[in-house]
Amino acid sequence: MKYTITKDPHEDERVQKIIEISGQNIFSCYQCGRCSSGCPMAEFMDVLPNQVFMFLQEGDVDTLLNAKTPWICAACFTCTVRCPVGLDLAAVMEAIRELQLRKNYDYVDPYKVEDREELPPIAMVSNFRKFTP
Amino acid sequence: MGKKVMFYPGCTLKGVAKNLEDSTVESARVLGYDLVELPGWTCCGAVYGLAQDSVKFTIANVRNLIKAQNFGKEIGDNRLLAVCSMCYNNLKRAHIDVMKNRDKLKTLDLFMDEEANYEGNINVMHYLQFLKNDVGMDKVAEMVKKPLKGLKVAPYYGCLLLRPDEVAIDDREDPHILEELFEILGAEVVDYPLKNECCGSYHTVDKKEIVGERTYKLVSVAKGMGADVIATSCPLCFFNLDKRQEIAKQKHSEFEHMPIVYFTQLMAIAFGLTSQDVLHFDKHYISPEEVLQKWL
Amino acid sequence: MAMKRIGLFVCHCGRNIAGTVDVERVVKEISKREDVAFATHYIFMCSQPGQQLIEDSIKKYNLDGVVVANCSPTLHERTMRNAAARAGLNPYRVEIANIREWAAWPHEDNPEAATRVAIRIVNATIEKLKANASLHPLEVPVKKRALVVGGGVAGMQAALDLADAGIETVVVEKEPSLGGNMIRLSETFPTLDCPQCILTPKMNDVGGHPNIKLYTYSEVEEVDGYLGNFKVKIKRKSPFIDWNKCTGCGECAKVCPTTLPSDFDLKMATRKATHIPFEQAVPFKYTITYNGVPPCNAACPLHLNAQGYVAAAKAGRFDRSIDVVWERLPFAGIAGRICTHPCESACSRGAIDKPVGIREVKRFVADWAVKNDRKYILHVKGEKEKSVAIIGAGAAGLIAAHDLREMGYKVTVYDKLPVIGGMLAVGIPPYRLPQEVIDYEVQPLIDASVEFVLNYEVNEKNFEEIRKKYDAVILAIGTHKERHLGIPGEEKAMHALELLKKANLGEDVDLKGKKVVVIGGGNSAVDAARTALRFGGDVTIAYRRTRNEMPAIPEEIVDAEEEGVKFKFLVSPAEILDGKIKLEKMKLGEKDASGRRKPIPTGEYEMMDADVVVLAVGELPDASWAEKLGINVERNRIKVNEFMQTSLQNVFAAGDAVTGAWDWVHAAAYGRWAAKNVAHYLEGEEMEKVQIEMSSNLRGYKELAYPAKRHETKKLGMEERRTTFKEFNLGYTEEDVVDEAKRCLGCGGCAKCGLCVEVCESKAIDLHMQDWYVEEEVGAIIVATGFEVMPPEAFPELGGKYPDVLNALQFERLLAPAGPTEGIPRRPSDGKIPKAIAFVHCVGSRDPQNGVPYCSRICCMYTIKQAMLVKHARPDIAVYDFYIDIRSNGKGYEEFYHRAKEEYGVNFIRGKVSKVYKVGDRYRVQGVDTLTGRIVEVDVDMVVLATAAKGSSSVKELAKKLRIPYDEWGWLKETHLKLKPLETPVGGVFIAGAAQFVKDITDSVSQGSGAAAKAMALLSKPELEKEPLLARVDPEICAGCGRCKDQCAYGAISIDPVRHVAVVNEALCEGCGACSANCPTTAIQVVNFKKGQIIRAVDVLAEVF
Repeated sequence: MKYTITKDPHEDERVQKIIEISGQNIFSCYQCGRCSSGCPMAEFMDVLPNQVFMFLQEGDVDTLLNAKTPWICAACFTCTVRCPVGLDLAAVMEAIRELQLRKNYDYVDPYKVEDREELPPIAMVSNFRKFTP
Repeated sequence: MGKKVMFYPGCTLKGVAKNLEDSTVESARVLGYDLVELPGWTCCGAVYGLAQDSVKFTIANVRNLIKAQNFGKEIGDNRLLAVCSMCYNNLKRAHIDVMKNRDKLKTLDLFMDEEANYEGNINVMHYLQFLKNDVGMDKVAEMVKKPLKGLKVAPYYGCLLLRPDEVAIDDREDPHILEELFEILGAEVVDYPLKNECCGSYHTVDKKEIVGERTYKLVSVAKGMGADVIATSCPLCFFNLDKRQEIAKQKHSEFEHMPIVYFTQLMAIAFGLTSQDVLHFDKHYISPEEVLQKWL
Repeated sequence: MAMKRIGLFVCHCGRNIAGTVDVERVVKEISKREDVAFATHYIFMCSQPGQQLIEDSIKKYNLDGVVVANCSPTLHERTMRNAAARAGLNPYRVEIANIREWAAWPHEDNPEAATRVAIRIVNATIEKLKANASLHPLEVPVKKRALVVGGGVAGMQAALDLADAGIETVVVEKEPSLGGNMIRLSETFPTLDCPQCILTPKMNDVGGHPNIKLYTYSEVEEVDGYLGNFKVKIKRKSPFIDWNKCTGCGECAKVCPTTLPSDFDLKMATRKATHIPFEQAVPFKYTITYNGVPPCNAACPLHLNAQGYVAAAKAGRFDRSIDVVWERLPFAGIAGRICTHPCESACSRGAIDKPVGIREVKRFVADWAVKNDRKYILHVKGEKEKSVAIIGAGAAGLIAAHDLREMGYKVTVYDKLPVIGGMLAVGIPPYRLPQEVIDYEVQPLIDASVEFVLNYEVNEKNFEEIRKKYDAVILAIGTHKERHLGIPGEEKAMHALELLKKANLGEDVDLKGKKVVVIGGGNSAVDAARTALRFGGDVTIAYRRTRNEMPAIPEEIVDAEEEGVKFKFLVSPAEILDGKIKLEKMKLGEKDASGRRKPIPTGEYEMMDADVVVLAVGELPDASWAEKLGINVERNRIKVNEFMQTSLQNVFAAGDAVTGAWDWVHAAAYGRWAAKNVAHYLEGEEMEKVQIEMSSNLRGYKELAYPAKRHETKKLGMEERRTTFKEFNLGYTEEDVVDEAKRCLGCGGCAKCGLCVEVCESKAIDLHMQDWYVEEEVGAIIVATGFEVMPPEAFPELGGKYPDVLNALQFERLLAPAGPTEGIPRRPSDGKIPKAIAFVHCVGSRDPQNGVPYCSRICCMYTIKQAMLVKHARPDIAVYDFYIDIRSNGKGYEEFYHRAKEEYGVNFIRGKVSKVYKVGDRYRVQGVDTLTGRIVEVDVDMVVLATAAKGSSSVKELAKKLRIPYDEWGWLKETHLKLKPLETPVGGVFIAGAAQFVKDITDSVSQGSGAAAKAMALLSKPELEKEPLLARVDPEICAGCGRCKDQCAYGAISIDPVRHVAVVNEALCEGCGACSANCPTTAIQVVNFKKGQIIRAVDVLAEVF
């Protein structure tokens, strides 16, 4: 496992884009880990929320674009409200998803959803809003 | 005729959560309020957009707020009640967002061809806030006909009533509004530590297994604490905790089922409204009938 | 005279200034000015050669003013002024132009701008300097004494250093003992000495030092004066024990029945209300904790010391208990039976389950006294000549008679009834209050020569005669007239009073087998119903509202029901017919003024069988005769003023006759007030306004609630209850009364039961002791008030509400060898030794969103220490330490951390815990290991939270009194974080230890010594020099409006009442300029900061290039 930093992550365009979409200064994270320990979805993630911030602070957006984590986040805001430095982590996760979705990428295909008739409308609306462009 | 107050039911209450809608409207009627459906309401969008550079998830909500603005003037009341946690969260966040970011409101006004501009004076409230602050818990207590004595309830708030901070209806880490209500209804409240944890939300559409695991944890802890039912206000939490017990059971053979109810159903029952036209137990995957038999 | 020969000295500050600012150009530009005689630059002006350059130039060029362009004046203004003084130039003719912080540093990226800004700053400074006056320092005398506030380790160190240097030092500590937070600790990092070993010698030294005056259990109340001459008023909180007499023997604590949570042990243990916080306390004197009047006592209209007699009963000391009742009331047996007990309604225990059975405790001790032949004796305190007549021997009359007789007056009581007691005798049925009880408790009055004239009706015929015969009269005639309904057939009904009177006087009423309907819902309705039942009737109470609205005492309604009385609600009588009653059905409407829902007639009627109808719809005073004599009467009640005085001067009135039918305790309370004011009246003193109500916010110690349900009293067998008039309630048994008394939550702290007073051999205890004040004059003050840690309850997500989730200071007590668990950690919930403990770092610290933004600095080290101590005490306890970063930056600290890891087997996991919740008997800790990137969950038995430190909660009040600044977290602000960490902006006031910011013991002690040295330097001079940069008033312009006086934070300005101009006390003035900024006429200005100077400087600064 090795990652070579080739340029200052502060100057990385995609990091800047994530900052712009989320409105969050991802560099204020000091790695306390409270987001991860409180995250109800963490056990299903491949990159923990606190690690997401370390990847961003190191300029490694590729790893995050290929990670499951942003698509596992349920936007429950537990991390957001507990973050000691006031980062809205849910917005950062959304920004990472947006980088993909804005390429017209469908994470979920609405036509392939099972049991559509029994699902509450809010389940489908929210799912499609998060997972389709 | 009770006092008229605007009510935003939301899509889900019109179908799978009929039990939530009817128990809300009927319990309010007992308390002397006539919840009038906001004419011409549209979907709230279920999740609020978090991208700073987009307003697309705010349009529909502002349009709903403008409708409330018009109708509110007609009935002389600016309160807009929601009982679905997602609807409440969206409408409230949209209101706060555009009041804080006037530029955003100006942009949104450009989309409103026929409507008036939003003036910002709609008071979006969750039904629980309405009960506590406007109706008063004393009044609720007065209307209790059949105290739910002996029923052990685990209150479940989920996420959207408590987070983010700006829309929280109570202390986000240790809320007590549901506890207070259930005690007044005569029930025994379980100190349920996972009351503010996420159920898995919209993953129920494409990642049912994850939601099944969440349901397994949330229901078993409540069970372990001796709860008879979990009571919630969110139709998505309700669906996940109720329906996804099927998956929880498949994965964990020792898992024991537990019925899930809306807090409004418990209110209705305590008020003596036990008709299935109000309670709609057919909408439950795990029927609460047996647990609640004593009071029906 | 404006200066004409100014010298400019531009400093390079190495590269700090010259690296950005073109110093050559600055010199060249400024040299062009006509008023500048010389300008130059040099690499370090603050160096010896730099200063020499200034000195030489002043002499050589005969400079009359100097500007040094360098760094901030807080750093080198003094250096430069001293240099000028050495060259013979008045030092106040030197000004600093700060071109480092203002020009060079902010414009590092733009040298051109930096240079232009520097030139502008220098020009502005010259403009200001030109009008500077030559000044000379002021001299003020010094009081060679010091005050140290705070008796923790820093304060003690400071006090000892001062005292050893021969300076008399006053130490003020708010707790009863010295020691502060440090004495609570188990052991201290990194050396693991115990504070009991290393701190107690210091405590003893402070306690015994000839130069130290120690005031513990005291607080600074007021601070006046200034540098070198402070006057400090110190509040000495009453310990209720004379410490000059207390020997510390501890007999008081042995007998004290009141247990409170130990504040010293942070609720990890309990203690008695009279206590010494810990074994090595200095001074070794007992202190009684009294929180104030408890709710029971406050709610009692007579203000009986309910908590006191309950506490004595708890100890099984019924003799003391009855004495406590008798202190305020001779009629314990009456009150114990029929009082409506407002005390119980106010009892804090009611919020948990049910109130303590206060009335029944009183009843028990009253009966106990009868059985044990302990009699109440009315002691007359000196006979007086004057006499008082009391009309009415009921509740109000009896207590007034008692009180007045006790004061020495001759008292005669008239009553028209053949018995003593009024309504007590004829209105309350004998099964509730036997006449023997009344007679027994009235006997002490008769024994003390109170004269009773019975069967004597006072009316318009004989009243004037009585009024002439006595010096004063109290009308306490009660309510003996029935209220009427005004419905058809009412004459057929019997009135409740009539029925009750017959029963009381032993007459028989034959109701056998008859259907009796009692109309009403109050106490007399219930009494009448139960009486009718005993006469053999089949009784129904018909009431127009529902049970919830019945004004009768709830437990008596239950008693009636048990006995077989039936109830019919929501009916109102419409007509009484032979053998029947016509009732109108009612429904409940909105709440009325009494807060009860109003009955509303429905217009529907029903008939009910009724052989006898008893009306119990209220009683009225019969005051018609009084009215005829010119006594004002309103709505049938006798009208009195706020002193219980009627419209006739020497006639007072009290009881139901004044208030309308109420209850015994209120009648008695008003009777007592009437007696008090009669006495004032007779002595020609000013009368006191009646004040019955009192409130109490105390809510008791719920955590100490004795787990027991309210005890029920023994009752007479049901058959006898239904058929005889024997007393039905037999009261508590001896065991029950003790257990019931234990349910008291001890709201007031000390109950003032007086058990300790009995046993104190040196007669040191005075339960009436008040706080008192002392004044001290000192020259310097050191504030060392320490820190607090946030309570675990502030963190519900981390389980702070659970009993086994503690903060670290609480856990210290459990680890302390002399602590409640003798150093072995045990769970507060069940006393079990835990199998696993989790420590959580940074709880509230480093968390600007939810707690405090800073690192609390000591937590890493003490958590590691606690983890080690746990492993040392019980190696089998697993320890999990959840940290974010280990901050071990002190001498020996990092090595200490490694010992914990390497030798003690503590598990360190890097990641902040997010949630702690209860699963079964254990606590689930939901954490993360950010290093491996995994969620970590572990079940433990105890959790210790390293909660954030804050300044002492009372420090803000103190800081305001001292006029020293503090931040939002309660830390006192130093003058300069690095260079003046012990000084405050107020001359002569220093700070030390954790009051400035949380710090470890090493640093606290260093600061204590440091502050002492600062104070010594100040106090070592006979007189002090003071900056002469003070406000001055131009009396020609000053209008004496006083706005400057209102603005002055130092109290330095007064308005001369003769000349009507502001006057500045130069010793107090700090030269801040707030007065000047608020003066509408520029009459008050700070020397060398005059308006013209500042405006000219600002003009230059604001000029646009």
